[in-house]
Amino acid sequence: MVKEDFPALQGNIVYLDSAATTQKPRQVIEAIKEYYERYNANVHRGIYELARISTEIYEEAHEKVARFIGAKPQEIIFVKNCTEALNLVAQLLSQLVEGSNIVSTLAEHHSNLLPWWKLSKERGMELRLAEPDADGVIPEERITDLVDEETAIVAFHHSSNVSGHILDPRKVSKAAKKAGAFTVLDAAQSVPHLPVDVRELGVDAIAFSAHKMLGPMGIGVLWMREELLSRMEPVLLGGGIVSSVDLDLSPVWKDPPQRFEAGTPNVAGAYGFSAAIDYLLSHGVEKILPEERKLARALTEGLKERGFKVLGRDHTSIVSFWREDLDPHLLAYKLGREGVCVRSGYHCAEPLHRHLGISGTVRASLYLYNDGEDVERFFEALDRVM
Amino acid sequence: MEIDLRKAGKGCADNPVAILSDFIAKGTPLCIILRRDQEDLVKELLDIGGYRVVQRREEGEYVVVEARR
Ligand SMILES: Cc1ncc(COP(=O)(O)O)c(C=O)c1O
Repeated sequence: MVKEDFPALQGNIVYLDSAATTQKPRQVIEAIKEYYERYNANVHRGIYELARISTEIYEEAHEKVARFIGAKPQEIIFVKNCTEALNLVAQLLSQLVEGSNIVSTLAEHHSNLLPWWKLSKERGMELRLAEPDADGVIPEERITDLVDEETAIVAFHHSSNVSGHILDPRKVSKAAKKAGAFTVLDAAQSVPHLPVDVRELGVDAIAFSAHKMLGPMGIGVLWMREELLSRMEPVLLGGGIVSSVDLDLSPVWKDPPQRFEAGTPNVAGAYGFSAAIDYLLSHGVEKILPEERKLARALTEGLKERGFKVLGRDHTSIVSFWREDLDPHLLAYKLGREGVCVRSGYHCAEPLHRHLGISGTVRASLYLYNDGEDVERFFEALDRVM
Repeated sequence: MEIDLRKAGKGCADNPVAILSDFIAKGTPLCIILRRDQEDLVKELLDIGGYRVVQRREEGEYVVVEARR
Protein backbone atom coordinates (compact mmCIF):
# COMPACT_ATOMS: atom_id res chain seq x y z
CA MET A 1 0.00 0.00 0.00
CA VAL A 2 1.91 3.03 -1.30
CA LYS A 3 -0.54 5.59 0.11
CA GLU A 4 0.40 4.68 3.66
CA ASP A 5 3.87 6.14 3.09
CA PHE A 6 2.40 9.59 2.47
CA PRO A 7 1.36 11.51 5.60
CA ALA A 8 -0.48 14.19 3.62
CA LEU A 9 -2.73 11.56 2.03
CA GLN A 10 -3.95 10.13 5.33
CA GLY A 11 -6.80 12.62 5.71
CA ASN A 12 -10.02 12.57 3.78
CA ILE A 13 -8.54 13.90 0.54
CA VAL A 14 -8.31 12.74 -3.03
CA TYR A 15 -5.12 14.28 -4.37
CA LEU A 16 -5.25 14.69 -8.14
CA ASP A 17 -2.83 17.57 -8.61
CA SER A 18 0.51 15.78 -8.89
CA ALA A 19 1.37 17.53 -12.15
CA ALA A 20 1.60 20.70 -10.05
CA THR A 21 3.51 19.03 -7.24
CA THR A 22 3.57 15.57 -5.73
CA GLN A 23 3.04 14.62 -2.11
CA LYS A 24 6.10 13.45 -0.20
CA PRO A 25 6.66 10.04 1.33
CA ARG A 26 7.74 9.76 4.95
CA GLN A 27 11.22 8.69 3.76
CA VAL A 28 11.78 12.05 2.04
CA ILE A 29 10.44 14.08 4.96
CA GLU A 30 12.64 12.11 7.36
CA ALA A 31 15.72 12.60 5.18
CA ILE A 32 15.34 16.37 5.23
CA LYS A 33 14.90 16.34 9.00
CA GLU A 34 17.87 14.01 9.36
CA TYR A 35 20.05 16.29 7.29
CA TYR A 36 19.40 19.31 9.47
CA GLU A 37 19.66 17.32 12.70
CA ARG A 38 22.84 15.43 11.86
CA TYR A 39 24.73 16.68 8.83
CA ASN A 40 24.13 20.38 8.35
CA ALA A 41 27.26 22.26 7.23
CA ASN A 42 28.17 24.23 4.12
CA VAL A 43 29.60 22.25 1.23
CA HIS A 44 32.90 22.43 -0.67
CA ARG A 45 34.37 24.71 2.00
CA GLY A 46 35.00 23.49 5.55
CA ILE A 47 37.63 20.86 6.28
CA TYR A 48 35.97 19.54 9.42
CA GLU A 49 34.11 16.22 9.49
CA LEU A 50 30.59 17.63 9.29
CA ALA A 51 31.48 19.69 6.22
CA ARG A 52 33.01 16.63 4.62
CA ILE A 53 29.86 14.58 5.21
CA SER A 54 27.62 17.35 3.91
CA THR A 55 29.76 17.69 0.78
CA GLU A 56 29.62 13.94 0.28
CA ILE A 57 25.83 13.97 0.60
CA TYR A 58 25.58 16.74 -1.98
CA GLU A 59 27.90 15.01 -4.43
CA GLU A 60 26.19 11.68 -3.95
CA ALA A 61 22.92 13.35 -4.90
CA HIS A 62 24.48 14.40 -8.22
CA GLU A 63 25.61 10.83 -8.75
CA LYS A 64 22.21 9.40 -7.90
CA VAL A 65 20.36 11.76 -10.24
CA ALA A 66 22.93 11.06 -12.96
CA ARG A 67 22.41 7.29 -12.65
CA PHE A 68 18.64 7.80 -12.66
CA ILE A 69 18.72 9.43 -16.11
CA GLY A 70 21.76 7.72 -17.61
CA ALA A 71 24.03 10.76 -17.32
CA LYS A 72 27.44 11.60 -15.82
CA PRO A 73 27.49 13.31 -12.38
CA GLN A 74 29.42 16.29 -13.75
CA GLU A 75 26.56 16.93 -16.17
CA ILE A 76 23.99 17.38 -13.39
CA ILE A 77 23.52 21.00 -12.37
CA PHE A 78 21.30 21.55 -9.38
CA VAL A 79 19.09 24.61 -9.63
CA LYS A 80 15.94 25.77 -7.87
CA ASN A 81 13.41 24.15 -10.21
CA CYS A 82 12.67 23.27 -13.82
CA THR A 83 11.90 26.90 -14.62
CA GLU A 84 15.33 28.01 -13.45
CA ALA A 85 16.93 25.17 -15.41
CA LEU A 86 15.18 26.26 -18.62
CA ASN A 87 16.14 29.90 -18.09
CA LEU A 88 19.71 28.86 -17.36
CA VAL A 89 19.99 26.72 -20.47
CA ALA A 90 18.66 29.58 -22.59
CA GLN A 91 21.30 31.89 -21.12
CA LEU A 92 24.04 29.31 -21.54
CA LEU A 93 23.12 28.50 -25.12
CA SER A 94 23.07 32.19 -25.98
CA GLN A 95 26.88 31.95 -25.67
CA LEU A 96 27.07 29.41 -28.47
CA VAL A 97 24.11 29.85 -30.79
CA GLU A 98 24.31 30.84 -34.38
CA GLY A 99 21.33 30.94 -36.69
CA SER A 100 18.27 33.03 -37.26
CA ASN A 101 15.44 31.06 -35.68
CA ILE A 102 14.41 29.12 -32.59
CA VAL A 103 11.76 26.40 -32.84
CA SER A 104 9.36 25.54 -30.03
CA THR A 105 5.66 24.72 -29.72
CA LEU A 106 2.43 26.43 -28.74
CA ALA A 107 1.82 23.66 -26.20
CA GLU A 108 4.79 24.47 -23.98
CA HIS A 109 4.55 25.40 -20.36
CA HIS A 110 5.33 29.13 -20.05
CA SER A 111 8.65 28.10 -18.48
CA ASN A 112 9.74 26.55 -21.76
CA LEU A 113 8.39 29.35 -23.89
CA LEU A 114 9.22 32.69 -22.33
CA PRO A 115 13.00 32.11 -22.02
CA TRP A 116 13.10 31.36 -25.76
CA TRP A 117 10.89 34.33 -26.52
CA LYS A 118 13.37 36.52 -24.59
CA LEU A 119 16.41 35.04 -26.28
CA SER A 120 14.87 35.41 -29.74
CA LYS A 121 14.00 39.07 -29.00
CA GLU A 122 17.50 39.82 -27.70
CA ARG A 123 19.18 38.24 -30.69
CA GLY A 124 16.74 39.37 -33.35
CA MET A 125 15.81 35.76 -34.12
CA GLU A 126 12.48 34.41 -35.31
CA LEU A 127 10.58 32.24 -32.80
CA ARG A 128 8.71 29.53 -34.72
CA LEU A 129 5.96 27.78 -32.78
CA ALA A 130 4.53 24.44 -33.86
CA GLU A 131 0.75 24.34 -33.63
CA PRO A 132 -1.21 21.57 -31.90
CA ASP A 133 -3.72 19.42 -33.75
CA ALA A 134 -7.42 19.37 -32.86
CA ASP A 135 -6.75 17.12 -29.84
CA GLY A 136 -4.31 19.67 -28.42
CA VAL A 137 -1.38 17.40 -29.21
CA ILE A 138 1.81 18.32 -31.07
CA PRO A 139 2.81 15.60 -33.55
CA GLU A 140 6.61 15.47 -33.87
CA GLU A 141 6.45 16.35 -37.61
CA ARG A 142 4.90 19.70 -36.79
CA ILE A 143 8.11 20.56 -34.94
CA THR A 144 10.54 19.07 -37.42
CA ASP A 145 8.72 20.78 -40.33
CA LEU A 146 9.77 24.12 -38.83
CA VAL A 147 13.44 23.18 -38.52
CA ASP A 148 15.84 24.34 -41.23
CA GLU A 149 19.54 25.13 -41.69
CA GLU A 150 19.03 28.43 -39.86
CA THR A 151 17.56 26.85 -36.71
CA ALA A 152 19.71 27.47 -33.67
CA ILE A 153 17.66 25.75 -30.94
CA VAL A 154 14.70 23.38 -30.79
CA ALA A 155 12.99 23.49 -27.39
CA PHE A 156 10.05 21.18 -26.74
CA HIS A 157 8.28 19.10 -24.11
CA HIS A 158 8.63 15.39 -23.51
CA SER A 159 5.22 15.00 -21.87
CA SER A 160 2.60 17.75 -22.00
CA ASN A 161 1.43 19.17 -18.68
CA VAL A 162 -2.01 19.77 -20.23
CA SER A 163 -2.80 16.79 -22.46
CA GLY A 164 -0.36 14.29 -20.95
CA HIS A 165 0.71 13.40 -24.49
CA ILE A 166 4.22 11.97 -24.72
CA LEU A 167 6.38 12.98 -27.67
CA ASP A 168 9.19 10.90 -29.09
CA PRO A 169 12.21 13.18 -28.56
CA ARG A 170 14.37 11.04 -30.84
CA LYS A 171 12.34 12.03 -33.89
CA VAL A 172 12.89 15.70 -33.11
CA SER A 173 16.51 15.48 -31.99
CA LYS A 174 17.46 13.59 -35.16
CA ALA A 175 16.07 16.33 -37.41
CA ALA A 176 17.56 19.07 -35.22
CA LYS A 177 20.99 17.49 -35.22
CA LYS A 178 20.89 17.22 -39.01
CA ALA A 179 20.24 20.95 -39.17
CA GLY A 180 23.00 21.66 -36.62
CA ALA A 181 20.59 22.93 -33.94
CA PHE A 182 20.75 22.40 -30.18
CA THR A 183 17.86 20.55 -28.59
CA VAL A 184 16.38 21.30 -25.16
CA LEU A 185 13.76 19.01 -23.64
CA ASP A 186 11.35 20.05 -20.91
CA ALA A 187 11.17 16.80 -18.98
CA ALA A 188 9.23 18.14 -15.98
CA GLN A 189 6.35 15.74 -16.65
CA SER A 190 8.30 12.79 -18.01
CA VAL A 191 11.23 12.04 -15.68
CA PRO A 192 8.83 11.54 -12.75
CA HIS A 193 6.67 9.04 -14.65
CA LEU A 194 8.78 6.93 -17.01
CA PRO A 195 12.33 5.66 -17.32
CA VAL A 196 14.39 8.32 -19.09
CA ASP A 197 17.87 7.76 -20.50
CA VAL A 198 19.30 11.02 -21.77
CA ARG A 199 21.72 9.33 -24.17
CA GLU A 200 18.88 7.52 -25.90
CA LEU A 201 16.87 10.70 -26.33
CA GLY A 202 19.59 12.33 -28.40
CA VAL A 203 18.91 15.81 -26.99
CA ASP A 204 21.51 18.26 -25.66
CA ALA A 205 19.81 19.35 -22.44
CA ILE A 206 16.88 18.40 -20.26
CA ALA A 207 15.23 20.12 -17.30
CA PHE A 208 13.05 18.84 -14.46
CA SER A 209 12.05 19.50 -10.84
CA ALA A 210 12.43 17.27 -7.78
CA HIS A 211 9.10 18.33 -6.32
CA LYS A 212 7.17 16.66 -9.15
CA MET A 213 8.81 13.31 -8.35
CA LEU A 214 8.27 12.98 -4.59
CA GLY A 215 11.25 15.19 -3.74
CA PRO A 216 11.27 18.52 -1.94
CA MET A 217 10.51 21.91 -3.45
CA GLY A 218 13.47 24.20 -4.16
CA ILE A 219 15.67 21.80 -6.10
CA GLY A 220 15.65 20.99 -9.79
CA VAL A 221 17.99 19.74 -12.46
CA LEU A 222 19.57 20.93 -15.63
CA TRP A 223 21.29 18.11 -17.44
CA MET A 224 23.49 19.13 -20.32
CA ARG A 225 26.08 17.28 -22.36
CA GLU A 226 29.51 17.60 -20.80
CA GLU A 227 31.12 18.68 -24.06
CA LEU A 228 28.77 21.68 -24.17
CA LEU A 229 29.02 22.57 -20.49
CA SER A 230 32.79 22.57 -20.60
CA ARG A 231 32.72 25.23 -23.33
CA MET A 232 30.47 27.61 -21.45
CA GLU A 233 30.98 30.46 -19.02
CA PRO A 234 28.92 30.61 -15.82
CA VAL A 235 25.87 32.86 -15.80
CA LEU A 236 25.58 33.36 -12.05
CA LEU A 237 28.84 34.54 -10.49
CA GLY A 238 30.07 34.29 -6.92
CA GLY A 239 31.37 31.76 -4.43
CA GLY A 240 31.76 28.08 -5.17
CA ILE A 241 32.32 28.39 -8.92
CA VAL A 242 35.94 29.54 -9.08
CA SER A 243 39.20 27.73 -8.46
CA SER A 244 41.09 31.04 -8.16
CA VAL A 245 40.50 34.78 -8.23
CA ASP A 246 43.64 36.86 -8.78
CA LEU A 247 44.40 40.39 -7.52
CA ASP A 248 43.19 41.67 -10.86
CA LEU A 249 40.26 39.27 -10.33
CA SER A 250 40.39 37.34 -13.66
CA PRO A 251 38.66 34.29 -12.18
CA VAL A 252 39.44 30.73 -13.17
CA TRP A 253 36.25 28.70 -13.31
CA LYS A 254 35.87 25.31 -11.70
CA ASP A 255 34.78 22.40 -13.85
CA PRO A 256 31.07 21.62 -14.25
CA PRO A 257 28.83 21.18 -12.40
CA GLN A 258 30.32 23.49 -9.75
CA ARG A 259 30.98 26.17 -12.37
CA PHE A 260 27.22 26.58 -12.68
CA GLU A 261 26.17 26.22 -9.05
CA ALA A 262 27.11 29.57 -7.52
CA GLY A 263 26.51 30.20 -3.82
CA THR A 264 25.32 27.90 -1.06
CA PRO A 265 23.23 25.15 -2.59
CA ASN A 266 20.14 23.38 -1.29
CA VAL A 267 21.94 20.45 0.32
CA ALA A 268 18.99 19.33 2.44
CA GLY A 269 16.91 19.42 -0.75
CA ALA A 270 19.51 17.31 -2.53
CA TYR A 271 19.42 14.78 0.31
CA GLY A 272 15.63 14.69 0.18
CA PHE A 273 15.82 14.34 -3.60
CA SER A 274 18.13 11.33 -3.17
CA ALA A 275 15.58 9.75 -0.84
CA ALA A 276 12.86 10.39 -3.42
CA ILE A 277 14.89 8.65 -6.11
CA ASP A 278 15.49 5.69 -3.79
CA TYR A 279 11.74 5.51 -3.23
CA LEU A 280 10.99 5.60 -6.97
CA LEU A 281 13.59 2.94 -7.69
CA SER A 282 12.25 0.62 -5.03
CA HIS A 283 8.71 1.13 -6.35
CA GLY A 284 9.89 0.52 -9.92
CA VAL A 285 9.94 3.52 -12.27
CA GLU A 286 8.80 1.35 -15.17
CA LYS A 287 5.61 0.50 -13.26
CA ILE A 288 4.47 4.08 -12.73
CA LEU A 289 3.10 5.04 -16.15
CA PRO A 290 1.22 1.77 -16.86
CA GLU A 291 -0.52 2.09 -13.48
CA GLU A 292 -1.40 5.72 -14.19
CA ARG A 293 -2.68 4.93 -17.69
CA LYS A 294 -5.28 2.54 -16.28
CA LEU A 295 -6.60 5.18 -13.92
CA ALA A 296 -6.43 7.89 -16.60
CA ARG A 297 -8.48 5.72 -18.94
CA ALA A 298 -11.14 5.26 -16.26
CA LEU A 299 -11.18 9.01 -15.62
CA THR A 300 -11.44 9.81 -19.33
CA GLU A 301 -14.28 7.37 -19.95
CA GLY A 302 -16.28 8.56 -16.93
CA LEU A 303 -15.80 12.18 -17.89
CA LYS A 304 -16.92 11.59 -21.49
CA GLU A 305 -20.02 9.78 -20.20
CA ARG A 306 -20.83 12.95 -18.27
CA GLY A 307 -20.55 15.13 -21.37
CA PHE A 308 -17.05 16.48 -20.80
CA LYS A 309 -14.51 16.95 -23.53
CA VAL A 310 -11.02 15.69 -22.76
CA LEU A 311 -7.81 17.06 -24.26
CA GLY A 312 -5.27 14.74 -25.86
CA ARG A 313 -5.67 11.14 -26.93
CA ASP A 314 -3.27 8.77 -25.18
CA HIS A 315 -4.07 9.60 -21.60
CA THR A 316 -1.08 9.09 -19.40
CA SER A 317 -0.96 10.71 -15.99
CA ILE A 318 -2.88 13.85 -16.93
CA VAL A 319 -6.53 14.31 -17.84
CA SER A 320 -7.65 17.85 -18.69
CA PHE A 321 -11.36 18.27 -19.28
CA TRP A 322 -14.01 20.89 -19.84
CA ARG A 323 -17.64 21.48 -20.63
CA GLU A 324 -18.78 24.68 -22.30
CA ASP A 325 -21.56 25.20 -19.73
CA LEU A 326 -19.33 24.87 -16.67
CA ASP A 327 -16.77 27.34 -15.36
CA PRO A 328 -13.59 25.29 -14.75
CA HIS A 329 -12.61 27.28 -11.68
CA LEU A 330 -16.01 27.00 -10.07
CA LEU A 331 -16.03 23.27 -10.74
CA ALA A 332 -12.53 22.90 -9.23
CA TYR A 333 -13.64 24.97 -6.24
CA LYS A 334 -16.67 22.77 -5.69
CA LEU A 335 -14.56 19.62 -6.00
CA GLY A 336 -12.09 21.12 -3.55
CA ARG A 337 -14.85 21.51 -1.00
CA GLU A 338 -15.48 17.79 -1.41
CA GLY A 339 -11.83 17.04 -0.65
CA VAL A 340 -10.87 16.49 -4.30
CA CYS A 341 -7.75 18.45 -5.24
CA VAL A 342 -7.65 19.33 -8.95
CA ARG A 343 -6.31 22.30 -10.87
CA SER A 344 -8.21 24.69 -13.12
CA GLY A 345 -7.31 27.30 -15.70
CA TYR A 346 -4.58 27.36 -18.31
CA HIS A 347 -1.99 25.35 -16.35
CA CYS A 348 0.72 27.83 -17.38
CA ALA A 349 0.06 26.98 -21.03
CA GLU A 350 -2.16 29.87 -22.05
CA PRO A 351 -1.16 29.97 -25.74
CA LEU A 352 -2.31 26.35 -26.12
CA HIS A 353 -5.74 27.07 -24.63
CA ARG A 354 -6.10 30.26 -26.66
CA HIS A 355 -5.14 28.46 -29.85
CA LEU A 356 -7.77 25.79 -29.17
CA GLY A 357 -10.34 28.43 -28.20
CA ILE A 358 -10.85 26.95 -24.73
CA SER A 359 -11.17 29.32 -21.82
CA GLY A 360 -9.62 26.95 -19.31
CA THR A 361 -9.80 23.31 -18.34
CA VAL A 362 -9.92 21.30 -15.13
CA ARG A 363 -6.91 19.05 -14.78
CA ALA A 364 -6.79 15.81 -12.81
CA SER A 365 -3.26 14.47 -12.61
CA LEU A 366 -2.06 11.20 -11.17
CA TYR A 367 0.94 9.68 -9.50
CA LEU A 368 2.02 6.37 -8.04
CA TYR A 369 -0.03 6.81 -4.86
CA ASN A 370 -3.37 7.16 -6.65
CA ASP A 371 -5.65 4.16 -6.93
CA GLY A 372 -9.07 3.06 -8.17
CA GLU A 373 -10.69 4.34 -4.99
CA ASP A 374 -9.48 7.87 -5.81
CA VAL A 375 -11.13 7.63 -9.22
CA GLU A 376 -14.37 6.41 -7.65
CA ARG A 377 -14.35 9.17 -5.05
CA PHE A 378 -13.60 11.73 -7.76
CA PHE A 379 -16.72 10.71 -9.67
CA GLU A 380 -18.86 10.56 -6.54
CA ALA A 381 -17.79 14.13 -5.75
CA LEU A 382 -18.26 15.24 -9.36
CA ASP A 383 -21.78 13.83 -9.46
CA ARG A 384 -22.64 15.58 -6.20
CA VAL A 385 -21.46 19.02 -7.33
CA MET A 386 -22.77 19.00 -10.90
CA MET B 1 -13.49 44.26 1.89
CA GLU B 2 -13.86 45.88 -1.54
CA ILE B 3 -12.87 43.64 -4.43
CA ASP B 4 -12.75 44.77 -8.04
CA LEU B 5 -13.23 41.81 -10.36
CA ARG B 6 -13.63 43.81 -13.55
CA LYS B 7 -10.13 42.96 -14.74
CA ALA B 8 -10.13 39.36 -13.48
CA GLY B 9 -8.92 36.84 -16.06
CA LYS B 10 -9.24 33.12 -16.63
CA GLY B 11 -5.79 31.96 -15.52
CA CYS B 12 -5.03 29.83 -12.49
CA ALA B 13 -4.76 32.72 -10.03
CA ASP B 14 -6.42 35.76 -11.57
CA ASN B 15 -9.92 34.32 -12.08
CA PRO B 16 -12.89 35.45 -9.95
CA VAL B 17 -13.16 32.11 -8.14
CA ALA B 18 -9.52 32.10 -7.04
CA ILE B 19 -9.69 35.76 -6.00
CA LEU B 20 -12.92 35.45 -4.02
CA SER B 21 -12.42 32.02 -2.49
CA ASP B 22 -9.64 33.29 -0.20
CA PHE B 23 -11.98 35.90 1.30
CA ILE B 24 -14.90 33.50 1.42
CA ALA B 25 -12.77 31.01 3.38
CA LYS B 26 -12.20 33.74 5.99
CA GLY B 27 -15.83 34.88 6.04
CA THR B 28 -14.92 38.51 5.27
CA PRO B 29 -17.89 40.80 4.41
CA LEU B 30 -17.51 41.67 0.73
CA CYS B 31 -18.26 44.55 -1.61
CA ILE B 32 -17.63 43.25 -5.12
CA ILE B 33 -17.44 45.33 -8.29
CA LEU B 34 -17.99 43.13 -11.30
CA ARG B 35 -18.95 42.89 -14.92
CA ARG B 36 -22.43 41.69 -15.77
CA ASP B 37 -21.11 38.55 -17.42
CA GLN B 38 -19.48 37.58 -14.11
CA GLU B 39 -22.61 37.95 -12.03
CA ASP B 40 -24.04 34.41 -12.22
CA LEU B 41 -20.69 32.85 -11.41
CA VAL B 42 -20.07 35.17 -8.47
CA LYS B 43 -23.56 34.65 -7.07
CA GLU B 44 -23.18 30.87 -7.24
CA LEU B 45 -19.82 31.10 -5.52
CA LEU B 46 -21.19 33.34 -2.77
CA ASP B 47 -24.07 30.97 -2.30
CA ILE B 48 -21.79 27.95 -1.91
CA GLY B 49 -19.71 29.93 0.58
CA GLY B 50 -22.77 30.58 2.74
CA TYR B 51 -23.00 34.28 1.85
CA ARG B 52 -26.16 36.22 1.13
CA VAL B 53 -26.36 39.31 -1.04
CA VAL B 54 -27.44 42.27 1.11
CA GLN B 55 -27.31 44.87 -1.64
CA ARG B 56 -27.02 44.94 -5.43
CA ARG B 57 -26.73 48.10 -7.46
CA GLU B 58 -25.89 48.89 -11.04
CA GLU B 59 -23.22 51.47 -11.81
CA GLY B 60 -23.17 52.10 -15.54
CA GLU B 61 -22.06 48.92 -17.22
CA TYR B 62 -20.91 47.39 -13.93
CA VAL B 63 -22.63 45.84 -10.94
CA VAL B 64 -21.77 46.29 -7.27
CA VAL B 65 -22.72 43.44 -4.96
CA GLU B 66 -22.47 43.57 -1.18
CA ALA B 67 -22.57 40.23 0.54
CA ARG B 68 -21.95 38.81 3.99
CA ARG B 69 -22.31 35.58 5.92
C1 LIG C 1 5.87 20.80 -18.47
C2 LIG C 1 6.34 21.70 -17.38
N1 LIG C 1 7.42 22.45 -17.55
C3 LIG C 1 7.90 23.26 -16.61
C4 LIG C 1 7.26 23.37 -15.39
C5 LIG C 1 7.81 24.29 -14.36
O1 LIG C 1 8.20 23.58 -13.22
P1 LIG C 1 8.59 24.35 -11.89
O2 LIG C 1 7.41 25.15 -11.48
O3 LIG C 1 8.92 23.27 -10.93
O4 LIG C 1 9.75 25.21 -12.22
C6 LIG C 1 6.11 22.63 -15.16
C7 LIG C 1 5.37 22.77 -13.90
O5 LIG C 1 4.18 22.62 -13.81
C8 LIG C 1 5.64 21.76 -16.17
O6 LIG C 1 4.55 21.02 -15.99
